[in-house]
Amino acid sequence: MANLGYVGLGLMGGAVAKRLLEKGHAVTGHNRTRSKVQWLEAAGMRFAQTPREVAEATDMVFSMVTDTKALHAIVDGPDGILAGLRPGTIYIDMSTVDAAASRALSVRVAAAGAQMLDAPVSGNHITLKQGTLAIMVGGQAEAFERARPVLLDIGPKVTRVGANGLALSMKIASNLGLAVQMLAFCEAVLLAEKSGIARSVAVEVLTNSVIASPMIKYRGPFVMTLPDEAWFNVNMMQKDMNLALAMGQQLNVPLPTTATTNEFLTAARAMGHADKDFAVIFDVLAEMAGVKR
Amino acid sequence: MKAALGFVGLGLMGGAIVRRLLEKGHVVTGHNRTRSRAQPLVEAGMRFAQTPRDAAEAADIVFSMVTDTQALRAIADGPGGIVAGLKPGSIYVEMSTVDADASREIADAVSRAGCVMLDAPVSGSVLTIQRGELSIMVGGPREAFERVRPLLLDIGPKVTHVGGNGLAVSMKIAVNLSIGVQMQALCESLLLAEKAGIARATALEVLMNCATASPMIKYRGPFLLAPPDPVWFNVNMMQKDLNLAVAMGQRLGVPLPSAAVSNGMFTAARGMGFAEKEMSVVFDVMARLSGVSA
Repeated sequence: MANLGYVGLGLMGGAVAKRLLEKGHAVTGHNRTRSKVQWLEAAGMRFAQTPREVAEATDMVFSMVTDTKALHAIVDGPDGILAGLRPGTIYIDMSTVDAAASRALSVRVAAAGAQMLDAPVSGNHITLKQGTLAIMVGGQAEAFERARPVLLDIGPKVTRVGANGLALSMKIASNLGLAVQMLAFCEAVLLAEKSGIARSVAVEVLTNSVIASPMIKYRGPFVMTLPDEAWFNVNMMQKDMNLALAMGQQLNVPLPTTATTNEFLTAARAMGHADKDFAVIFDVLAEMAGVKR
Repeated sequence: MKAALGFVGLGLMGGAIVRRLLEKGHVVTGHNRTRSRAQPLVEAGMRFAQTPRDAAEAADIVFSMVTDTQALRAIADGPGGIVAGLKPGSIYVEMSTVDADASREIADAVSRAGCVMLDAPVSGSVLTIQRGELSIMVGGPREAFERVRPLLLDIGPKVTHVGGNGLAVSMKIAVNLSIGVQMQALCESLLLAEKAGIARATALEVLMNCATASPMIKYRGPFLLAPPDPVWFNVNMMQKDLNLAVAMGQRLGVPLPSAAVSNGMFTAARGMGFAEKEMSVVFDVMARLSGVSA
């Protein structure tokens, strides 16, 4: 049982913190809006007023926020995580952010005598509850080995892919497949539907076929009914696609399907769907195909 | 008593299905253009028929699985063809991935001969069949579907009736476009990770265990490190299916942006001399475009 800290208790971060509490760890957490984490306090989490207090009170600090800007907001300044990190502790950032920004941060963490790992996840809050979340880790092997038992309490598949920032590179590389697979799935559903096959039958076949990835299995049915609260909205998905495309240009790796798919996310935003689950690209394609949702 | 079965087209997939039917205790009479290829099946108990017509005449239920629409015409039509040999009341189960209109035309000819045809393409690979995990989509009259259903369940556990004649091949073509697109996206992911500094084997391991790891990616992913021998599904076959999808999309008014982009990369694979290679060779195309050696 470890003394853990957690900053950023949104849909995913909150679910991870809940799981750590269930595994018997002591968790001190902080979230910008306290009212959103009352359910975690009821489950035994201690609330800290600032990210800095979380770091000061714990041996291993986690964070999970929306983007690079949000990460800087919780890390920097007099109330940030960096100001509170004690020598010998480990800081594990689970956000999906720019790899270069993460690497720069890891250098500052090292200067404070602590070690940073980037540990983004592949999955969602349901995968997490089912205990099947995959976690990629970048950073020093020694810090990884120390954090590993706690990470295994979060999900069963924990892989160290290399040095600081490389887990994020891997995450960004793997996430482009989410949007591309979803677009191809929508193409297939509409092709089947306009051939004369009922949409629900087409979805049933596709979610049981060789192309049915875990993502297709859970998100495919969203073309029938979108979830009230987006699991991963169009803005978030496009943020990751933009990170991939920028990486591709920087490293000279052409990404033809990624670029094509990203345009459909732009269309989704233009059509007013920015905050809906990115499965809403079905609506964009359906509109183009003259089909009613 | 078990029904007498016929099977025309004993290639990699057809042959694997016949082997499975023999293992389940069925009597199978089979035909293949090149007899020598059928020899292992004859040794496993299959009776060999000289023509597709002979295979149909010997059976209550006859199956076929061939490469494309042209090959299907060659075994179905003419005096030595399946349609000429169908006994009244028998069922013809056609498992090839072909144009839906062509499939419907043959179904009409079968119907005029007093029989029923079902289109029953499969989703999976040789490995999927051997593991008993093949999924089969079926188009055609429901009554005929119910009669052959137990038999199809002997081939694979997931059997779905999707509608009238031709609709299962429509569904299959819709499914298959994702094979090309998912493979293309996998190559993009892998090369991005590799050029960022992650070992190819490590990146592949992560990609085969993440939210996008479909069964197809799980079995075909390792081909990016070492291609299979023999080839499972070559570039020409993949492009045939993508062309069927794109043509269908144009006819029905369904834009297929990701399928079209992916199809272009398979054209590149053919241009680079990889037509007969496993379709995962699209990795080599992308690797060259990225200045990485495959």
